[in-house]
Amino acid sequence: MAKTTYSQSVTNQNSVQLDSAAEESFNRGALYSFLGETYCARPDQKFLESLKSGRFFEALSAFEAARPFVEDFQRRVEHLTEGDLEDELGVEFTRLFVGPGAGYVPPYESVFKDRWTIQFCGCPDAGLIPTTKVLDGLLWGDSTVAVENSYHKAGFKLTEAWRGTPDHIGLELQFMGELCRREGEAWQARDVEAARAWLGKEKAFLSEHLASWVERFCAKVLERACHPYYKLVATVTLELTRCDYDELCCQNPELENAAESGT
Amino acid sequence: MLMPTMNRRRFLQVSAAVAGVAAVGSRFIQVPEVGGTGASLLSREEGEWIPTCCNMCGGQTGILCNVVNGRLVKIEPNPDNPIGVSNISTDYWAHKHEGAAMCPKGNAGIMTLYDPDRLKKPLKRTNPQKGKGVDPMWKEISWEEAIDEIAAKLGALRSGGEAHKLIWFSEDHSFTHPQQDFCALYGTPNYHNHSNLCDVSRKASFKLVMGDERPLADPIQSRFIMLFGWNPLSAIKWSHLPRVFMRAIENGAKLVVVDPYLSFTASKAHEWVPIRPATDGALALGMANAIVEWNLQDQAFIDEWTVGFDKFKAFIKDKTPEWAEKITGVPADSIRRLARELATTKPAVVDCWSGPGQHSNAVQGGRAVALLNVLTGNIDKPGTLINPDKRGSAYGAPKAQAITQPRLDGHGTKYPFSHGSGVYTEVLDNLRTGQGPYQPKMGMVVFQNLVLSVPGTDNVIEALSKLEYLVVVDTHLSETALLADIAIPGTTYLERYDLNSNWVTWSTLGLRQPVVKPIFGQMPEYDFVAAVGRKLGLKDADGKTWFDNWDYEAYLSKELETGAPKITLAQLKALPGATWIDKAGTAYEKFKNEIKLPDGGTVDAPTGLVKDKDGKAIGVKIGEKLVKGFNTPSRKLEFYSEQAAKKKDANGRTIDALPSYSPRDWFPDDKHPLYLVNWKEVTHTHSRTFNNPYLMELQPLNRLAINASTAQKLGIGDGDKIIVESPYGKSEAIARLTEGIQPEVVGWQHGFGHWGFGKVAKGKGTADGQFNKTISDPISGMALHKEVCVKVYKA
Repeated sequence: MAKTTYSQSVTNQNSVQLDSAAEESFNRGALYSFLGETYCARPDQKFLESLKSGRFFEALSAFEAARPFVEDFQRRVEHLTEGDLEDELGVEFTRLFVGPGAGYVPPYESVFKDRWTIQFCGCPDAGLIPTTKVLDGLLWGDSTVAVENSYHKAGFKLTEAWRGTPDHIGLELQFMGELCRREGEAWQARDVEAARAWLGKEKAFLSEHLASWVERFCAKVLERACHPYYKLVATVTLELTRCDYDELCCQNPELENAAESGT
Repeated sequence: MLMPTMNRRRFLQVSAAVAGVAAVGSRFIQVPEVGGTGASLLSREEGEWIPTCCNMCGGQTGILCNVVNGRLVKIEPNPDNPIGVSNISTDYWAHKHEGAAMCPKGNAGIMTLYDPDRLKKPLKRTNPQKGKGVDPMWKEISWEEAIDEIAAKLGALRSGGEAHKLIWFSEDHSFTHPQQDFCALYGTPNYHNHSNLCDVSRKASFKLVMGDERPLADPIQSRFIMLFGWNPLSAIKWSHLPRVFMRAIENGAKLVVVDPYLSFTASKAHEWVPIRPATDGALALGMANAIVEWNLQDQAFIDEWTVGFDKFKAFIKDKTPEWAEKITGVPADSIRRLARELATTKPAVVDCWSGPGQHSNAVQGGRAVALLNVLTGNIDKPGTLINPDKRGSAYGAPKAQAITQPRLDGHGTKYPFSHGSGVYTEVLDNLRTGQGPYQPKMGMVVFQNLVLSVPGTDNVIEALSKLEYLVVVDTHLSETALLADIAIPGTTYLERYDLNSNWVTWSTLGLRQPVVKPIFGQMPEYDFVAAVGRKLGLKDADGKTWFDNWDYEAYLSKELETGAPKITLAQLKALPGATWIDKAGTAYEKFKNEIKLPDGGTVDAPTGLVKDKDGKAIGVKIGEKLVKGFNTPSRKLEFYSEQAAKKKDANGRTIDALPSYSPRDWFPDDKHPLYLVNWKEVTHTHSRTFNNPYLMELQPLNRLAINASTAQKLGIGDGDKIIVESPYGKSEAIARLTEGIQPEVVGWQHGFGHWGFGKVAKGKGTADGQFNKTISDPISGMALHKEVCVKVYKA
């Protein structure tokens, strides 16, 4: 099967291919941004409105793994009033990503990746012997700083409207969306070097951050989510990052890692 | 390694389709000037050190916070704030260069700030059912929606003429003034704060005896220290306490601890006196009897500065050490020995806190203990019980319309010597039973976990569930927040402002300031309260809207400028350690300060009382001098309290003018044969630090301490699973066998047994409040956390 890779696009510099590369980047960016938003905020009226056309379901049905959730979700959309659906999704969103509580999946890289070591000198009163314990990460860990640094180095910062730490899964996905969009703009401008640089940043951010924890995060969401919508979102998130990771980090080893080069 | 499960072409098709459907806005902005420069936020900069005050507990220790690029990385003690060094000025200035102290809770503060289980966004309940184990089905809402909804509910209540039906509970050291402003302007008299759950019986006892509700012991200059039910080396409120007690011992002081439990302080003491719970007053009377019998009292001091000694002397005539032994379980010989040591060692100090303070006979017992200081002349001198100078910031309460409805809690009426913090159990139990003067409809709970901290867990849950609308502001989804209609994310002490004064013996004031921005962009509690007040358009008595253009920094600056420091907030920030310290330092024997007879004032011949033109006693004539005296009705220390005798307690009984011992109401019987007491340790605060991984490593659960001989009779071994049962609750626990507890008593650390809060806290240990009756001491309204009897058996 003929496959357009980034390296081919770059070497051929064929106008049609460049346009298609641009479109791909924009589309990937849009998907990243959309997924990012689903973790940042509960679905709003506008989104629920958009479900009515059915195009959303059609689009996501193409993901085989997501199909059962799409069907399930579509059924709920058909049977519930918009208000009930909004409530249902709002409650599920809150339970999963705002927490705390039984279903909570902290959507922060630092919680998944960082570790705190506690050296315990013992507590005879409680019959405890000296131990060293390694605990899950907290908020604002080293990973959080590294993520914020990646945004910063790429020339981005968070809008004031964001209330939270920078390593939220939704922001990491949206940041990928931003990088993809800039890549697309570079292809459009026929600036191959710039496009490659943006690709390098995508690769670096994926390998250093997003891809390093998204699989564990999505697995937890799939395990804890009750609502098909969030099972669907987690499945698509996983597919997207897997595909991109494979393409950028495995298939194109020649792509410069923008973070390593410090550009 | 991530492995793709679909081919890229298909993937790109899908993304194109989604892109066509779901367009979203961006949360990023491009800032080209920083891009590509390689500028790193991961720099190894040292960042800045910001002075502030801890609030992991109510002790307000001075701390220094190291913040690197907006992230808090380390907390150290701040020696420019006396809290953490010493409560006596001369000692503070001589030793501050040696550094200050911070307790484990303070060290663990970062883990609370960055706890992933924190409440992050306003949550609205969608499940109308409430109760333990009921999922509220939270839905996050925006701050605007939350404020609009709360203001609408409060507005409707108020316009229906029912403003008084709002009940409000808050923490007692943080942002209390804006909340009091709100309640006054909104029109509810029902504002309460945490002190009621802590030490208000001590406040009542000492106020009756010496006119000061919070005198402070000066251990470091003392030679003999006797503590009744206080564990300052572990239940640290002020982090200088371990230092001043241990230095006192190094300096040669003798430390005696009276407590049913061998507390950490008792373990460092020269003598531990294991006493039967709630009999401390009888022990104090037995000691007084012996001291007077030997004529070892400070008669000159008594003659000059006290009233009612003759009546007291007659009253204690039969309160012999043998009499006390029968009640307390402490041998008469020990009582005599301790009495002699106390009376013959100068200076000495006797103090009591929450051990004897949380029983139904606490106030009179506390008076008897306080009077040991009076009897021996150990008042307001170095090394004794000090009346602290308490000049700090000045609260400028708004002029509000008078509220005609009575308070629900019987403050100052049913409970004659209660504290302004109110009587929690009275409000909540009346809410539950519907037997109060009126039934409250709305509740606001700020940084309080009533469910685990008010005696009688099930009753509290039942009561709160009866409110039509409950708002809870907290950093975590506490068990109380789980009953809320709206839960509002609070800030930690590292994200907000406050002023902290009056915790040492002279006037000082430490600033709490945000060292990082609220990490979820949440409003600090004061801003939230102001926003709701603004939405409601609350006005003062002159018709001026109070919360418009309201700003907490300006508000605090005014409190500083009109208070003792007479500086602005900016000037306070610029002071070393952001702490204002009155250079005058600790003053002693302030009761001897001379006063002038005011215009129109009189001196009452028989009593010597100096009165102003309105007839208010402002001092007393001693010899030829007019002096300030003490803030009691007689302006002297009172062995005999006429003001007490004029009142009836909550049970309708006349209060004895003398500090009589009466047994507490609830005694062990065949069904529930053991006293159950609780205590606090340095590892945790109240019920609110239990999701902190560091602190849970230090103290992960609360095993029930049982005397080994008692356990043997019950067939219980160390570490056994046991059942603890009272008429109000029954729960599983784990036994810890020890010789360090009075054999009739079992006990444990308070605060465990969470089912909310977070994943670290959940399911660890046993909640102690579930065994209690929801009652308070009938004189001061102190919540009775320790008046419980239980049965304990193997599970």
